[in-house]
Amino acid sequence: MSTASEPSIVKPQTLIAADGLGKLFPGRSSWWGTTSSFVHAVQGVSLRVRRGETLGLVGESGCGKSTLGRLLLRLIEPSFGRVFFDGKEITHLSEGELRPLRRRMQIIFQDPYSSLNPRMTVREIIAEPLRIHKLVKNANEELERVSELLQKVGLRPEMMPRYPHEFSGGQRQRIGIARALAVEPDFIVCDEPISALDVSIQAQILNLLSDLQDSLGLSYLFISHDLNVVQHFAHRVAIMYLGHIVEQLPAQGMQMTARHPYTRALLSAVPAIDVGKRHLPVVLEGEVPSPLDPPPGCAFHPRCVRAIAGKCDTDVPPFEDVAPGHRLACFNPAPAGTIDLAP
Amino acid sequence: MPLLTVDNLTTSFRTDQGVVRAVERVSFEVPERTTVGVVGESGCGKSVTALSIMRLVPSPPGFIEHGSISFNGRNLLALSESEMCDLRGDEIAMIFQEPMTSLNPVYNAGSQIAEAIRIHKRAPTRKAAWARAVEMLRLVGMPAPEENARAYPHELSGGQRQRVMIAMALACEPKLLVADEPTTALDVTIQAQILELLRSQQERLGMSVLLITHDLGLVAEHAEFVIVMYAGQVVEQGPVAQVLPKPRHPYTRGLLASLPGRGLAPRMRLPTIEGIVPDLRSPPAGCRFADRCPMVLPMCTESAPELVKIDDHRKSRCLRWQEMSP
Repeated sequence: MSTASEPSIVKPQTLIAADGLGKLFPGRSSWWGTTSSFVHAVQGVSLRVRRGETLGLVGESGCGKSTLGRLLLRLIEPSFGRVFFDGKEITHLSEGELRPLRRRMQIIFQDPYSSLNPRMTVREIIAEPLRIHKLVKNANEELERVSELLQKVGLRPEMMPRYPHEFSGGQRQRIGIARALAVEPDFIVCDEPISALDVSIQAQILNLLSDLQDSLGLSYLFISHDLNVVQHFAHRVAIMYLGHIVEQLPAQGMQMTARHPYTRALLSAVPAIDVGKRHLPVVLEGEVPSPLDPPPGCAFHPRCVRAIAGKCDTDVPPFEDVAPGHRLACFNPAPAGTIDLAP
Repeated sequence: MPLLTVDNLTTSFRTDQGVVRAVERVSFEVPERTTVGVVGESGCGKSVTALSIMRLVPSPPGFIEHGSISFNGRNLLALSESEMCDLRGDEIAMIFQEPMTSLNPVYNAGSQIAEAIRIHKRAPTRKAAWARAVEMLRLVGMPAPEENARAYPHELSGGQRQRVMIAMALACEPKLLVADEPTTALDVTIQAQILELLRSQQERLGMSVLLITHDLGLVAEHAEFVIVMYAGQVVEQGPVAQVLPKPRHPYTRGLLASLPGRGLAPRMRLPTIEGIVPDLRSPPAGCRFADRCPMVLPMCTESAPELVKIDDHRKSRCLRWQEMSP
């Protein structure tokens, strides 16, 4: 791969990058078996995650955020666009060529109940990646490594012979994290890792993830629908709507700096805990359109109070820089520093 | 007189390992035209409390061991099943978390709403009941209500299914709505729509709402009173405007502190409640929160603390509530 073909998105501090990445899933098939429609899951997304950084990816169900996470890991094949990892394009690598890179990219899933094999002990679950990637020489070394990993995620080595059903949700999520860490990855996609957990356990897992990032220098793509969590945990946040990233900005202060009408609506829909700070949410009309038949122009325009007729419903807004580290795809963004969405 | 008074309610389940008290000696009141939030984590007994009020606890294995539930002056636990059927869906209605599993998949939306209207004799004919069902769908903001009344649950989105549930629950203009995690399965922008809808309908009908949720944010924005449950017991209760800013139980305080996005510097470690909820098959002898409590004293593990009165409105199940200042 010549460096000349690499887009400007790939910089030395970039660990993983997507350039115009997209995925179409076949939708309904006609009677002859030809596919007549496509689900536009991810539509030409460009983003990058720097070394040691957490990029938060926020959106509602069906917006394509999980598909994007899997595209970056090449767990599913992109329909178009390119993926770069550590300065090298990996879009077209074969499974064999990808294998050594797989060790460096891992994923933790939302549901700690279905992502662990119920018939394997904790030791087998965590040792499996070690064996596949031949990272341990013998049983003794394996035992040592598994017990070290368990301690790293806050579990006790005595738990090794137990099965997943003997653990609580939070403990299972720790096992999933230990499994991801076993191969010493650089990049982890965290796909809603705390959504299935109780409030008091969520904070424990978030703290664990941030400690691990500090001590191991990990990069995270942190997928979530919870803006409060993402604002707290991520360095930068990308907001996704119907397959597009509509805004990307630093997490700190985004309450005031966010300008896309959809980001604003999401921010205002989060219930505020502090009594007295009650606000009237910007209630969005209607629901997310079907990705089988996305609207023309800006995908958000049918629900947008700031949409300009004759512009937003025909032209696709470009994803452009509006401030350092702040990119936006909107023809009529809300002014910075206001809660009001009025046009 | 409050609309609903739950007094010393204990609901238990018979299991292979003996009787488990899912809800133990829970008492609270729901005044008229008021929203009371019940918060707690999974397994704390908040849903069983709701089901007990509806007399929908699956029996066997569940049974109401002790206590009384009085609604509008009548003791619900003394009613016959047919008297309860008359009340349920008419004066007290309930909406559930997952509208897909709580709607009947083989009937269309309109006929499920019309059924509730006919059962409670709120319409003279089937035709009138159907018309009222369509009217209810319009009222809850369903797009194209005439057409969508003929839609089956699988043809509707999650938000639309929840609107059908709400239309059904409100069709007979109940005095009390029990809402068990009504927006948990929905996206945030749809959640905001549904909550706005519930708020406006509550105002229109002058009804009370018992809001069961794990989300303290929802309680802060939508309830006047809050009941915090932990491991089957009420640990703290009182007006939202007092409890959330100044919790008087270490569990409430810990829950509030562990929420991200409350003025804490970005990427700082969150304060956590260490440990996990005790197993209710063998609850601890002392305070149920003792092994996770940062303020625990030796006496906390010796005997179970009572829910003590702080003032006319507030109660706490902590021996050291007086020492708690936020």
